[in-house]
Amino acid sequence: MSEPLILEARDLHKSYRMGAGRLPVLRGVSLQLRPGEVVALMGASGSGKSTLLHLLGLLDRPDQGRVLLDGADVTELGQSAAARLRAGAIGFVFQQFHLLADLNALQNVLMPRRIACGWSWWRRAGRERERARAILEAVGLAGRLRHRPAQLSGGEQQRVAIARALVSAPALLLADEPTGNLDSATGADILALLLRLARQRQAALLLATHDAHVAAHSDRVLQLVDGTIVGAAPGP
Amino acid sequence: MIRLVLAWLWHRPVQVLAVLGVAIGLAALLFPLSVMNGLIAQDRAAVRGTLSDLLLIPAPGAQPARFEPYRAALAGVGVIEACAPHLIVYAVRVTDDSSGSLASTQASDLNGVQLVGIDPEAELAATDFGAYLARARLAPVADPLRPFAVADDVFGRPGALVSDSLAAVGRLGFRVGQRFEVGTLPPVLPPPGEPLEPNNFSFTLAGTYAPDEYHLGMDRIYVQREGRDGLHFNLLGPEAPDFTEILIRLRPGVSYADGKSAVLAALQRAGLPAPGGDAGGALETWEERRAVFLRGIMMERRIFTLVLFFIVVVAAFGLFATLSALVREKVRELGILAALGYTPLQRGALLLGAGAAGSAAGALLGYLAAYGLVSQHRAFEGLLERLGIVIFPKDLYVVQGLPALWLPGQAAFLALLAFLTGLLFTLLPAVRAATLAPVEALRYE
Ligand SMILES: Nc1ncnc2c1ncn2[C@@H]1O[C@H](COP(=O)(O)OP(=O)(O)O)[C@@H](O)[C@H]1O
Ligand SMILES: [Mg+2]
Repeated sequence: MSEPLILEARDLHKSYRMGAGRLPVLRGVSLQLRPGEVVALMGASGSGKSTLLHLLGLLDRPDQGRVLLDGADVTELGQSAAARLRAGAIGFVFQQFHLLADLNALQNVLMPRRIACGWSWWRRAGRERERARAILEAVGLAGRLRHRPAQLSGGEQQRVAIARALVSAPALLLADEPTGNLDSATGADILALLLRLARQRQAALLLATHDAHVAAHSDRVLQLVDGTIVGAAPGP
Repeated sequence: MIRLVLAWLWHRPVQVLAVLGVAIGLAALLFPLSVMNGLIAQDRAAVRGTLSDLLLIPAPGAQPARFEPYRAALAGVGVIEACAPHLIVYAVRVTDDSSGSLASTQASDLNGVQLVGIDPEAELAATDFGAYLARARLAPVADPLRPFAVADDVFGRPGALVSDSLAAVGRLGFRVGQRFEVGTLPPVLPPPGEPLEPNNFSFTLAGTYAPDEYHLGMDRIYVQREGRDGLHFNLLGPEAPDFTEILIRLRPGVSYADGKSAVLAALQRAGLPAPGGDAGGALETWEERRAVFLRGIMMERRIFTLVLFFIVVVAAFGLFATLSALVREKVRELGILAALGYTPLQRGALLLGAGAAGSAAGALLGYLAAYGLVSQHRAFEGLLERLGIVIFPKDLYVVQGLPALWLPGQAAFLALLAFLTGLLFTLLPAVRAATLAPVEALRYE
């Protein structure tokens, strides 16, 4: 199939130093993600899902193997170049929400834009603010723009985080157990929202989870076991 | 981003303490330094003594120097307000009880004196001589224009003024009308091998003066320069120069450099030898004359500043401590920023920005606090006195009260230095923020 890949991992290895020895976590992970595709990454806790997402999101480097974003090899990018790439091309959603505690919802959502725009921010602030407002509205938080994270429920915080991940219209979304810290009803809502927005905006979504329920809603499921991807079940 | 940094700082009151620390440190530097500036200004006045703005020592010519052509040459110079000739002769005091005078260190200091022949009117116009006369404690003169006048006496000796300190020495018993004798060198020195006969001369004490200066040179005995009672006529004779130096007071606002060149030009126009160079003589500002003392004072201030600046360094260290704590506390948020695309350089700059904000606030506050203290220093001193703290006891110090002189340039420079010191101390936390690994930061609890 000759369709371009938004993300490709080839034979990724990663181990952590533990005392004298090393703890291997990933031992040859390869995967491919097509634009707009929603893929679930299943695996037990501690199987290395977060580690893999960090490598794919250029937050960390593999010991071995390559990461290709939009066809370009980005494995060797320096920290600054990787950061600039993340700012425009990758959206993260974390299990712990990871909002900036001192900023309100709107400011949190605007943060990636500030970072991406650099000095031109001052010219574009008005437009960007409108855009952030629209996205917060889309995640159902039109009435919570000025709330700080501490004044929001867990579900609301994760909605802010989703809005923040989407605000730069990235082609790739990496979500690391986004419902892990939420009760099941809220988790289901958040999951539905994330999937809906990802499909709506045609962002590829790699969703790490150990929640079997998620699999039902994704295009494909990857199983991470013993540091490798063992099976790729097609979605419904 | 600025908002984020400000929010970080705002939600950490301990940061405010660090800022206050810098402010207090800077104020603790600037206030004593201003007091020192004030003392230095007084010291300079004391070190300056009777010196006028410029001091001209004529280059020796073929003929003994005469004041008249110099006076005529300088009279037309616009930048000069007044000038006064001095005829200086070195002398030793002759006493009938040398044992007594040598028994006291103060007395032996005063045994060598300068006989300074002056023209009272010119002296009053060109120097602070009038103030010296006015401050005399032991025997103030009645008429500053005729300070050497003594009661008519057929056998009268020329009148002379001595300093209060000389008059007060031991059992010398100086009283107005009293005669005293000095020994000077003969006007013409004998050939080698011939004995040197001192040329004794006696004066009548006409009054005293009070120098507002440290004893930087020999004590001076003022006498008339010219005329029947004059130093020239009585002691030196027609073959000797009738002046040895000229004190020149410049008009207010005239720079010493301009004054100097105007004087040199006037001498040249009048065909008088140029002082300085191989010919000898000199044209100096009073600061050049007293350079050794002034350098000593300035050195003192420099060391004082250096020592006090350590307070600022210690205070800036507080900034370092709290900013380090800030980085530790905000590790996760820095990781989040990294995930959102913030580069290491930007993360470092963020911390530097926080440090700069704190440091600038501290420097500004310190500057203003010190300025407030200096401008209200009288009140401050009153407060201390009410608490029983007297900084300069009146019976010990000539200085009355705290002098304080605010030099804006100096204060601004030190405030800038304090700011930069604070910034220097934020460098390490900034580097830490820049180099943290995003993944570890995100996992940080
Ligand atoms: N910085 C680290 N140092 C050492 N071991 C680590 C580090 N980060 C993760 N690990 C280990 O790697 C394994 C995989 O972790 P992780 O990727 O977080 O798993 P998951 O997200 O699937 O729960 C775990 O056993 C964890 O303890
Ligand atoms: Mg995980």
